[in-house]
Amino acid sequence: MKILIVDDSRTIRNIQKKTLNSLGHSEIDEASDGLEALTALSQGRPDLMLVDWNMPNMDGITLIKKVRETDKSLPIIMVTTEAEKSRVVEAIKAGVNNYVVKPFTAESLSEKINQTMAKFASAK
Amino acid sequence: MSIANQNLLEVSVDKNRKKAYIQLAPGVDPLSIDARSVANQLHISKIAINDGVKTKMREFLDKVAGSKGRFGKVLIAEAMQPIEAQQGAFHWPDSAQEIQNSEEDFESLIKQSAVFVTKGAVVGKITPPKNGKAGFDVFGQTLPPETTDCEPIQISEGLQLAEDGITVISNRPGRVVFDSQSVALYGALEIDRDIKPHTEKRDWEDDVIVRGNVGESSTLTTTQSLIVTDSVEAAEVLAGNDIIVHCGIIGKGKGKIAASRDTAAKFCEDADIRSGRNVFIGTSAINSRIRATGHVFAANASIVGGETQARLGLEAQSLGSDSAAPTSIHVGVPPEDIQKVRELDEFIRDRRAKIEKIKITLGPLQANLKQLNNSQKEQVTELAFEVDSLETEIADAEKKRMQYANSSSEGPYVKVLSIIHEGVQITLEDTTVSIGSKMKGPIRIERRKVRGATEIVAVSETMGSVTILKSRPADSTPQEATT
Repeated sequence: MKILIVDDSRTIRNIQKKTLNSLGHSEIDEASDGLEALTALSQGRPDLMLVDWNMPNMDGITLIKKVRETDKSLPIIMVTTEAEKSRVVEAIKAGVNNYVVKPFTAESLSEKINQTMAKFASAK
Repeated sequence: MSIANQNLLEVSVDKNRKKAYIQLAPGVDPLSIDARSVANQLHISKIAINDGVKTKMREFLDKVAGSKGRFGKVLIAEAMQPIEAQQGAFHWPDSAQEIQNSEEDFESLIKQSAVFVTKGAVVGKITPPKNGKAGFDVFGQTLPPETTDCEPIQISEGLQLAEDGITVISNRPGRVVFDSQSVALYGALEIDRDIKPHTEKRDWEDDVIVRGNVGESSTLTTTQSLIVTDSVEAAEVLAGNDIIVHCGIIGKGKGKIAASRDTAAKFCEDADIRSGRNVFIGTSAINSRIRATGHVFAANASIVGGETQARLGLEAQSLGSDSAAPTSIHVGVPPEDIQKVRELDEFIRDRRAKIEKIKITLGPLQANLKQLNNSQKEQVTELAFEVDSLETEIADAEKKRMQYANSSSEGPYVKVLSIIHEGVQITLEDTTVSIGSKMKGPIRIERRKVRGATEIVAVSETMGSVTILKSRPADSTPQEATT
């Protein structure tokens, strides 16, 4: 399974990578903002995308909206510090499938990833 | 415990509920006792009345009738003991009956190693397991057996049961090994000649028995066990399981013996032996370098000269010689592992300090999560994961530490049956004792707490006396001889 991590913090990307590795995923790409993510997407569609909200150049919500214009079925999890209800609703409206609030733990992140992937698997 | 005290009789039951007793209450006329009063008292005391109790009631009434009341309590009811489950067992045939599984005996290992069978041979007999059966206490309550699980003997491929269901027969030639609850037949290669010196280099994946000598400069390797019915001379022998040499290992300073499990030899001289488990020596180990991750068992052998290391303990007939041959014995965690343990301790301390430092920043942030700005929330995630990753490093280091520091629960020891000669140096982990004058056995040298301090002591196994031995840190120069 190919996973794309989009976050401007290298440390957070490493943390997510480590958590994904511990879940048995090794095919992981990284992007540090929305623009880089779009470039990565043009080179190949991942099976899951983890997206931060606040990033330079292009933020996560804009990225998700752009992706959803052409791809409705890519599982997307937003991993963000934005915890307010209105923000969560905004993200869901934009097309995210799950939402992880920072600070997160390895357990909470893996739980959300498993949840999301299981939902998509059963929908197939 | 006393259960009841009616006017006429008293019944008491032991604390395990396995025996109940009856006796006349003080001052009661024996003539006033009849079968009904006994039954009534037992009923009140809730004692289950079965055939055995009925017989005992009659005996009690006879005793009462024939006495003037001068007797103490009488057994009236007994529990029916549970029958413990019995594990399946394996019995060698008569010809190999003397083979015991005592892992501490060189001779038995030699005999066991020689159990090679041909096709169709009777390997032994098994006894099927028996299930346990519950018993009943004096109140009729169930007493479950302590052992309920019973395992049958497992028989490996290449072996089968005969029509009687208990005789084990081999389908092919091989070496029979009985280990706890299973009988296995290992494919074995028999070499019915000497391995020639300087010429042979062999590599196998079977048990191998060499019926002869292994000559100088040969190299033999097997992933299983290797048995040599004669001697090994300055050869390199490596085995994934055991190496058993019926005669001697004569290293001549260049041979090397390494077994992942046990190594056994009648004697060894100028040899280099490394064993992943135990080393068994039959008669003598002279000027050899022996290293065992488990024990060195040499209860009938002398260890003279050389260096012998055993992580768990060493047992020998004698150590050293009259000529004060420098003989070095080390039991417990070897010095290089002690160093690794120290390094790991330092590593663990460092990581713990780092965690504490992070927690000084992390604690207040985590306590006020709702008030944090986005950058602080990111910082919390990063710091929490850093703590996680440091804790993982600590857990890994602690696992490694346990491997290096691993020793038996009883602590390392040296047990000598007859004599420890002058010139022997015994190191228990990081503390050394130099033997300055002969010490008579049976004696056990170990570490003990004496008046609050840990000392190396010699415990006489006949007298029970304890002598504190003068010790020094390992690798330092001896100051004074033993007291």
